Amino acid sequence: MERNVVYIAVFAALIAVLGLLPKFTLISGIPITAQSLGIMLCGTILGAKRGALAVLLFLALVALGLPLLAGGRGGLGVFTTPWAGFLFGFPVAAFVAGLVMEYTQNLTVGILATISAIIGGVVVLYAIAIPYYMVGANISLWEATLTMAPFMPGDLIKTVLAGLITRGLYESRPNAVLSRM
Amino acid sequence: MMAISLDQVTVSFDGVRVIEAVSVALCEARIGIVGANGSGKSTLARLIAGLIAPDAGKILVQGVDVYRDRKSALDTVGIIFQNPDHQIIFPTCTEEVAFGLIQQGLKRKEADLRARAILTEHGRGDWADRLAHQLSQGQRHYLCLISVLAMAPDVIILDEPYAGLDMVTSLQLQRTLASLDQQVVMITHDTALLADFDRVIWMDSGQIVGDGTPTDVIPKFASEMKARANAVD
Amino acid sequence: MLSISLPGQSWAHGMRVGIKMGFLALTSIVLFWVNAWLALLVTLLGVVALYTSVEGAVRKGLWLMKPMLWIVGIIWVFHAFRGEYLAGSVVCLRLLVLVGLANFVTLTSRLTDMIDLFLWLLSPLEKAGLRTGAIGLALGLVMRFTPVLIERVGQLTQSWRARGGKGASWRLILPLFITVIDDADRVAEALRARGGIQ
Repeated sequence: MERNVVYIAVFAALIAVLGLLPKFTLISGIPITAQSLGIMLCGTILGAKRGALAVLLFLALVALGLPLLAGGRGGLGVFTTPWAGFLFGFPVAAFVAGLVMEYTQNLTVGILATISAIIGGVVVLYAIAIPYYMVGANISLWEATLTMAPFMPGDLIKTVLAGLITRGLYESRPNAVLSRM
Repeated sequence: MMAISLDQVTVSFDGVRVIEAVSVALCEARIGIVGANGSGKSTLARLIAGLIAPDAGKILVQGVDVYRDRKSALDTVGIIFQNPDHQIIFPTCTEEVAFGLIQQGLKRKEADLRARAILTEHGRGDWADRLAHQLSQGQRHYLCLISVLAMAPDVIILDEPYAGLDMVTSLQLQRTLASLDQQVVMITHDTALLADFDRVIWMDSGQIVGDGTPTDVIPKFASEMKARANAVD
Repeated sequence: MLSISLPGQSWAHGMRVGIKMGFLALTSIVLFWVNAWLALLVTLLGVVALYTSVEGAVRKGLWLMKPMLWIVGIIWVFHAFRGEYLAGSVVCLRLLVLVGLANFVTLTSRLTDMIDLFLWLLSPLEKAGLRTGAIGLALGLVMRFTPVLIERVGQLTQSWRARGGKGASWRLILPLFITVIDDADRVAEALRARGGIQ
């Protein structure tokens, strides 16, 4: 019980700290942060339920006013933007990534983690964020997708990292990868 | 050539003077640095390692500007921090040792072979493919030391290297350090470790307040620390 | 851990957080039905007036708004391409009002008060099995851990740079996770030693 609560808290902090790492700029000129990598790792390492809880805890603290979003931002305002679809999608993304991680057999940890990260952290996440943006900004689906599209290459790179990091953790600290317990 | 020379070096963090116009030349083989927390000794270590730049003054290690000329700095000075967990970056021991070598210009394959050879030289060839984070604490300390020694620097700085080590590991580390050819600069609380050193520097509030042989400096340092401890009542 | 809220004591700081949140929620719902750009513009000016009434709010508020302004610009451009200047302006104004108001609540509400409100709102769920004690503890743990993790990143970066690495690297993420999980195991142990989570 204590271990679960502490792990959930620690991973919420990790999401915050990953957002503070320096931005990496793709060739296209789009800056990407490591924060959504944190979301993916919550799912691939902690599994569906605990991963989602870690993300919800993170969001609660952002709502309460802590500057945990990339760039040191936070507060209630971010939840009222059309961008907020990502925020609401984050826990779902972690949950789905965790589900794939927990219930898939016959794949090595690294590859499975990347696949889970793609399904949860990219497919499901954008499936929530894009329509939300569309409605919130009152623009068409095409325009919403166009706005989000530049970030997808960065997110795909992150899914590969999620695989590498999950595998690395599984090798050094197998007991910590709760999704495989 | 003077090994380590500081000339009116000043460092400030957030407006606080951490190192105050310090000038000193360190040429001896074994140099200890003592001081209370916040005295500036850790900052001094990072200055010598070239990790931070002085706000004023000049610091050279064997004639190299270690902050600006990182390439030469890698061949000149190495630093080992207090907690190995906060320094080990790579999953396997070979990768960890090879990292510095790659930074020094070796190709990946060469660095890998050289790293394995170095581990074997230290009698730890079986560590080659083991995971660094599965080693015991004392073993991780050694890995950090080997990783730095692999780069063959002329000067090695150690920031509280014995903190948290058990007695056996501590003694082993002492023996290894005693056998090094490099100039060793060690920051420590444990003054007993400095008994055989050539020179001890005592830092307080960013300045050097004591400088001489261990028998000169350490008793004065110890009684001052005692007095401060008693004053807090 | 420091929250975004402004230090100090203004009239807005003095107002109860529950009331501010309630007002925000109400306004969000009402604004959803307002489509007149003039009404929205007036409301926006009202929000600006709110900001000017609290010391330091304008500067911090603008900083918080910065990323929003890009988004608002892009949205307006999309609408402009379709010739929907009016509809585009309405959407953008509504967004600015909402975000501005929400940020104002955050800027004038102390963290401890926000946490109290949050846990109070969750308390009915205790009957359904939710352990608000564990949630309160978890909130505290995150705030305690975040600065530690930031320091850890600094230490690993130092080790990276000491051996010649430049800038930062994704390679630092794995050791960050490993050491942090070791810390987590120790904290969980310490918790259990002091009675665990009730």
